[in-house]
Amino acid sequence: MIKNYLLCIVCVLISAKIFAQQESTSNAYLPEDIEAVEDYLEQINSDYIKRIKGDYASKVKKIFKDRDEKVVKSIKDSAYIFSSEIDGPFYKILENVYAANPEIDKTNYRFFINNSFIPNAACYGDGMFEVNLGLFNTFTSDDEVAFVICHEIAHKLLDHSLHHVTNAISKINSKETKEKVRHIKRQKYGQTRAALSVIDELNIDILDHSKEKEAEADSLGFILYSKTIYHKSKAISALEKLKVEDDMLLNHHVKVDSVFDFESYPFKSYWLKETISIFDTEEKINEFELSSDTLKTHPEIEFRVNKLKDDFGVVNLDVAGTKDQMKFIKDVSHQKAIQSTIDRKLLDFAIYQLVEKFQNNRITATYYYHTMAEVIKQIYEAKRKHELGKYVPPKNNFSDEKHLNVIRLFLHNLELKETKKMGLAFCETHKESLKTSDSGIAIHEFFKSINQ
Amino acid sequence: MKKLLTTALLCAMCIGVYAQQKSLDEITSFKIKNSGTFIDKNKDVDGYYFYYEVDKLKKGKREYAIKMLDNNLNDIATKSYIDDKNTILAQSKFNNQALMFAMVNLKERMYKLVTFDKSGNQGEDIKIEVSKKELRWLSMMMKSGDFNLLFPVDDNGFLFNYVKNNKKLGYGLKYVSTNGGASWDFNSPEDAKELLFLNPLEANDKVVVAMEGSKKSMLSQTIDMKVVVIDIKTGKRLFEKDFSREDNPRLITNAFLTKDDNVVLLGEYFDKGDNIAKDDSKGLFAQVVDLTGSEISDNKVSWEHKIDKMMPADSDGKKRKSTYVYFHDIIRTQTGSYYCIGEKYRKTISAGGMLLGGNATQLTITDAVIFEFNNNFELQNIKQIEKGKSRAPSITDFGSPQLNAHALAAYGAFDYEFTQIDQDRDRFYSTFIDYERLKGEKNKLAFKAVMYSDGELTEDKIYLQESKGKVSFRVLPAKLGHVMILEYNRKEKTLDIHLEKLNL
Repeated sequence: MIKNYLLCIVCVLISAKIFAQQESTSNAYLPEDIEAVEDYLEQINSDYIKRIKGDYASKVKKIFKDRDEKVVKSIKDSAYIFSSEIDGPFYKILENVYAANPEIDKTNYRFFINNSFIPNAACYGDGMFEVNLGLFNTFTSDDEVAFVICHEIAHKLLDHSLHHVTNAISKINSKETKEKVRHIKRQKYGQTRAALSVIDELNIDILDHSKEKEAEADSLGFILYSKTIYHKSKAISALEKLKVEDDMLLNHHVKVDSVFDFESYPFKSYWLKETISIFDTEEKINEFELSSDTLKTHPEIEFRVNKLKDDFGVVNLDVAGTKDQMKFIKDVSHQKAIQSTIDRKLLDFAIYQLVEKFQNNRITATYYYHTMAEVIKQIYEAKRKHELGKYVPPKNNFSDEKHLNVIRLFLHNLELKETKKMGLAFCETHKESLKTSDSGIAIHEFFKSINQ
Repeated sequence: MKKLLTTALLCAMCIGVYAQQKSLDEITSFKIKNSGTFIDKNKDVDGYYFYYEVDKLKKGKREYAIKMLDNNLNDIATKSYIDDKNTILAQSKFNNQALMFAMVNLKERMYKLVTFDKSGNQGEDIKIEVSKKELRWLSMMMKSGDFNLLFPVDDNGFLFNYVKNNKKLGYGLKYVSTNGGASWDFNSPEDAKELLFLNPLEANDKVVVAMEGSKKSMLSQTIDMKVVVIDIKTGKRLFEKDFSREDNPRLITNAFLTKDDNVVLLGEYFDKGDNIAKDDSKGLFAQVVDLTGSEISDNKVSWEHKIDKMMPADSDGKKRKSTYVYFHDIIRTQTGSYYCIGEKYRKTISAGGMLLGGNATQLTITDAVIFEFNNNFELQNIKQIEKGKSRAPSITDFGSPQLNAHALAAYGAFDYEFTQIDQDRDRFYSTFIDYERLKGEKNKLAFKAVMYSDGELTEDKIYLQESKGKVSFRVLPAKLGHVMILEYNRKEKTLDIHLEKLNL
């Protein structure tokens, strides 16, 4: 996994969010045969668990068992997308990786496409992998996707998931840790602070271990990748694109005051008015923060790029790469990513993506006008039912997502009656485009009727 | 609310580690002591706080954590605070310049006022000694629901209002400046022969307007009211207006300071000699005085000659002489007009009470009413918001309906929730809980909001139950124009907290 192979542990700790499904699109978020998928996951999980031996085996087994249940739940909760338009071309790239590496026993391997727009991928250890939709929006060539696949398979071949969990459980249950806990329990005063310090040490230790494993996966991944038909230098390009995305994620300046400014209904400056905050600080104040809270789980990408260059002599050439499959994936991935946020009612993300992709020519004007009209309608409905806040969080001064924050502020400041006027103004402005489909006409009629 | 919020935040405060190890988790779980909101007199919520006990320290000390969320429910700070064990966080307020926490140290018997500036730095603590008896009385006053322990004066400072055990019970009012001005104390006379209590109603950069009540004894049902106006820069009494039972009994519910530095007092007036807690008021009044105490105007609107004639019939179509209105709040808009928010009620026979040997009477609470007055305090309109009946057993069968209504209001027996005022946009939001009896449908509990904007009143509604009772809702005050909705899913045992704008 490129950026987040701790996911296997995090999945255990973070409960999955339940997203409402829209009936019209629900099929895309569930596999055709959900029972078969459940059986497959249960089978690979059970096979994997049987292999776990040694100290603390029962604790490690429990973590993997629980994780399987969470995965099934998140599939049912629409966290994944099942689309032949993406799966088909993606599996062709995957086949190329397998063909070049016949020694890989891929019997139990299966890749799932996660709805997330964050460019990332993950290896669950038991044969399940996932690739985020966001990865296809970031990458331009089959080569880059192939490198990510190789990196994730390397995690699996090196059994990093099991190593990671076993390492964490061993450290937590080690004689040394137990002695520290016993000592803390004997302390009359300051037990909590002392225990927090032990947790901090454990976290740092576990995170160091993660970084080592990530570099290992890069190396083995590159060995697998170098046997494929794809261009070696694209491994560097994949990592560098992830670095750019890491720095630039959600960094498109969405000028809401011009996007939602219409001649018939001009933008109101108070839609971006902020309330007074209790503190003026630029960062969250936390006098109980652990030093490990600020550490990154992965080595810097720059370090990883240099390591690949040093270890394998790979150079970054300006080559176009293969686009045989990505051209098909790209045709649909942007729209799928937008649709997925709309279906999950993440309307702030939907607006961000629509504007960003429209302004960067990744979607057509017709798609933009139709979908934005639909999003405004959903905002209106969510406000009418007093449930916008369930899906769109309020502005957070400490969030790095500055542009998303502005959209959130705008959406929460907007009143119901203003939303309906804005919806009509949008439809009137783009009525020629909306006329081209029944759904466009229906949304326009909807806004006309509620404005009467 | 607090319990539900506590549940939610407890999870957040358990430090997330890979540790499945119970003992480490147990040690590092902070124990919640209490929680609350930073809410001002306009019921605008500036944020939320949670007070935890973290660690036992030497010499009877404890380390506490005060976790603060902004008005968008974002976690913005967790501060460490060290004090004696059994130190209680009684209340907290924000005045745009600083946060003040009123702590009660039960061991050392003192109040401690703890401030944090906008950068989150803790200021110098202010300590006030307190006796056991004073603490007991303070607790009782706070429970009555109408007592401002801490009163923020926006961009100026804080007022701390407490009980003092003089010859008879009295009060202490401490002003703590946060803008470099003088701090002062304004205390009741130590040799006062009556019980005295004070409640600040309004304050700005010039004056504090407070209501002083006096009683001969705790059991006395006669309360005399006096409005005291204090210079905020010096703490000196500028003037007082006496509304005693003998001369001019009035129930002051609200005070406003106008842009031209006049004080507007609002409430109900009575006949000379009437008891404001027991007798029927004669009507509503708005009195305007300047900062020397000179009366500029005193407008009255009587029940008999004006209000009763304009009062709509109850929602069952009947006009009853026995119907009263209990006023919860009075709002003055930027245009100078006034809106009085109330609920109709009457004393009725309680069949259940008679059967069970309890009180034979009850208060039947019906429709909400909003009286609109122009800037000369002339009644313009009475808007009635239809509401299902709710019943509250009388505290006593022998007292007047008004006396019972006052007592029951303190217990929250009315359907009224709160009124939030947006001074910048000249709006207000008055909220009620209504049990809707629907024909052909299951009855539903609803949160209703009546909103004033651009001179018009509109309504919004949030139902408090869905999915056959699987999900229940609570609606609480939040930042201006918003409410906090707590959705509890009984089946899945999940709590979803979100802020929503009220729909104008």
